[in-house]
Formats: sequence, structure tokens, C-alpha cells
Amino acid sequence: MRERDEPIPPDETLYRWVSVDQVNGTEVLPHAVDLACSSVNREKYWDDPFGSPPLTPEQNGLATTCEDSFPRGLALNEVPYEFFTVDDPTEDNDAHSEIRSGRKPSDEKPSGDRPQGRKPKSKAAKLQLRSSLAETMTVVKQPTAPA
Amino acid sequence: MSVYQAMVRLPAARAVSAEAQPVLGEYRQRLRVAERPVTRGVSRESVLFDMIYDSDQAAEVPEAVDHSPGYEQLVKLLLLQPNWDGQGAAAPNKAAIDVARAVVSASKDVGFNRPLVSADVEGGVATYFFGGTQLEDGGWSHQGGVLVDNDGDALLYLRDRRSPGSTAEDVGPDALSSAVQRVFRFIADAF
Repeated sequence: MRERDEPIPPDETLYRWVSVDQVNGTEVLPHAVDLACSSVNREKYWDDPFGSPPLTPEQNGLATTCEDSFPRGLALNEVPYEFFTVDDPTEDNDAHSEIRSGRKPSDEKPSGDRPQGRKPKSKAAKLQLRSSLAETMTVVKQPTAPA
Repeated sequence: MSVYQAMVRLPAARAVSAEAQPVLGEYRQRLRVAERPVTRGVSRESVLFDMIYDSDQAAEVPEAVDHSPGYEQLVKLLLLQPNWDGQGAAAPNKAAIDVARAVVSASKDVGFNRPLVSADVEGGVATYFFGGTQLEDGGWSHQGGVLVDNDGDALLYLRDRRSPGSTAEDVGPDALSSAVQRVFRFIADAF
């Protein structure tokens, strides 16, 4: 397993597996992203995204995003939030990393909620954050229904 | 309409009709519980879903049932195991599926006959509806739905893809039907 390699460059492409019931056209639906930690694969450590076997028979499409496309100026109930990436290689997946969310760094708490992340208490606010993240993702390989 | 009223309309076995379809073997097995006696104070449909969980074997098998894509997708979700997405997702639990069932029922009342019912990667069930303009990418401009988590709590979701942002609101247990109607109006107004 490789060493952690951070920070992830903000323009590095991050791939997320999606299934046919998680997309509308090239947009990813909010229930397909996990606010606590959405697993993605880093372009730098993934040799052949389009030739790789699917994660599961259903999760056979790919959507991309990158830190540069994460929404700025997010505020929910007057609390500023952000998305950030955490490099997290695993034994069976060198490219694995995660997108997490949390309160933005402030004078009171310079690290914000990095690296663990934090979800807002309001469920409606959580859904809005999930939708914001999903909006940044673009389907680059359309998923298909398994045979 | 209360949640209970919505649930009462849900999938009971019926006589063969012109729109009914033959029951597949696997589906037939799941529906074996449909003819069981109803416990006092518990709807037949709740018993049905309880029995699916328990893999009960008794009772007669109906020859045919109403074909409903939404219900069929819900039944499939009952069979999901944890980590169904290969990334550690929680499986939808009974609380989520019971509420999603009421959402599907309410959607039939307003004319949404083919919802997209899908497992939520955070646990729970998402029920979506699409409409408006078909975009160049093949998707629809308007998407809306009701997302139910494993606590059984529901959220309304509306989004016009032609501009950034979305609407997300809590939905009380007695407001599922009105939430579905809001989604319907949101999409109908887009045409």
C-alpha cells in the first residue's frame, strides 16, 4: 500500500462509481453521495478508470468531480460549510480517497472540521449539502442496468 | 391523507384483471403472506412486509397481482444487504421502506406511475420523479422526490437542473401526500 499523498491537487480528477438509478442524464442524484465520506478514486493512482471492472454489477458507471468544482460560500443556518478531500489509500485500492464535509475553518477553530468532517444536525440541511456535492459531479461513463 | 390511510391502499393481492400480470416464481414466494389473517390494529400490508422480512411460508398464493414498478422496486430493496454498493452503504430498513411505501402509494394517487425508487447510500429509500424538458444529456430538467432515511424521517427534494441549487424540506409523517403533490406540481408546471 502506498503512502498517503496529500494535499490532493484541486484540479485532479476524482472518480465515483454510480449505478443507473443514481443519475439523471449526466447529473448525479443526491442520494448517491454520502455526506460523511464519499469514496472516490484519484486519477493519479488509477491507471485505467474506463477499463476497470465495475465495483459491483450495478455500480458500473463513472462520475467525476474535483476540488476546484466544489461549491464555495456554502452556508446553512448561517454556518459556513465546505467540502474537502482526504487521501485514503487502502490495501486493495491505491487510488481510494474520500470527499468529506464540515464547517469551514474560522478564527475560533483554524482547522474547521478537517480531517474528520462533520454533518449538520438538520436533515434538510444535510440533503442540501448532498445535493450541492452531487451537482458538481458529471457522469462520464453512463451506467447500465445489469443483465 | 394520513400515513396510515396511504398504507391501507398498498399492495394487496387481487383477482386477475386485464392489467394484471402473471406472478413470477420469486415474486409469488414473497406474496404468499398476502392472504394471512390480519392482526387486530395492524394493516394487511404491514403484515405483508413483516412477513417478507421473516420469510414466512404459510398461506395461499394469488394467481396475479397489480403490476406496479414502484412496489416491485421497494420489494427488491428489502433484500439488500449492508455494503450493497461495495462502499459500505447501509441497507434500507423497515422504517424507511414503510414510509417509502406510503410515498409510492401517494404518487399513484396523483398520477406518477413510474417513480424511480432507489436505495440511499446513507441508508434509507429515495423516491424520485422526473419531468419538464429533456436535456441534451438525455436527462430531464426537473427532478423531485421524497427521501426517507432509516429513522423513517422524510425530506422533500426539488431541483431544476438548469440552475444551481435545490430545495430540501422536512416532511412530517402526516404530510407525505402533500409533499408528493408538491413534487407533482413542480414537475407539471415545468411542461
